[in-house]
Amino acid sequence: MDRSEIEALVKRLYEARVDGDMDALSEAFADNARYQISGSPEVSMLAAVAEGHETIMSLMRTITDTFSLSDVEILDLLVDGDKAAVRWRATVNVMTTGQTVTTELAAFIQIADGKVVSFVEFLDTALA
Amino acid sequence: MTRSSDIEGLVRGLCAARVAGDMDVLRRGYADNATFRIVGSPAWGTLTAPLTGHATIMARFEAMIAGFALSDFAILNLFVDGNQAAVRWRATVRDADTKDHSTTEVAQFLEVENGKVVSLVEFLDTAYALSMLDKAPAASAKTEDRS
Repeated sequence: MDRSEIEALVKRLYEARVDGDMDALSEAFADNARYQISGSPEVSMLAAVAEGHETIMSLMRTITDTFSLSDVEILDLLVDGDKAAVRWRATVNVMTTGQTVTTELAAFIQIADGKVVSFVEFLDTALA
Repeated sequence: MTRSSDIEGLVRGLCAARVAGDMDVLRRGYADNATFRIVGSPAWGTLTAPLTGHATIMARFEAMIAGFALSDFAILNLFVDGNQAAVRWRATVRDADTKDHSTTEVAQFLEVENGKVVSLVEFLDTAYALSMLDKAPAASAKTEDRS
């Protein structure tokens, strides 16, 4: 994939997260993908690791059922070969409580054969 | 315009300096008007307060180096794109006072001008950092829950 294709894939991925489009998310991840929200599970319920397509989709469903996103803005998008680093900002609404927070997140993404094989996300783990 | 290889060398050097506590290298690596911010809610106080200016940032680095030692450091990703760099690294962080330690990952987004960092945005495990600093109400509550 060239740079423009990787940028397009990353943007589709984030649009799918905003829309809660599970079909598009399912299409984006490879069968053997790994998804990680970086952090210590002992002190934050947000830290998570999911390996394999089915496990990742299960986690994505939990995330999209719990958090809605709005005002998403990609602040930085760096591409290096088949890898990308993204810094983005969003307003996150916790649907169960109505709590809203505007926060920044980052992700380091590795792509192979047009699909995400590794997605490591960073966020403000102290929020939950 | 700084060359890509120069930016990569700068970032690797700054990472090594942070591990080694080499303030001379850190001082040389940042511009006078640099900014530094750990991403997180303003409610987390000084941990996430944005810093501006060389002296202010160096004072924070000195405090971080004095308070928390890094070991088993490894760069997991390092991308350079134009005048920006993104680095993901893992290290064991040890509190100098309590000796508590944990292996953690950090992500940094840097902007470089004329061979010096003008912007550093850092993502770290704020929940763990606050628990180490003992300032997080949520972390304190969880600690109480466990006791």
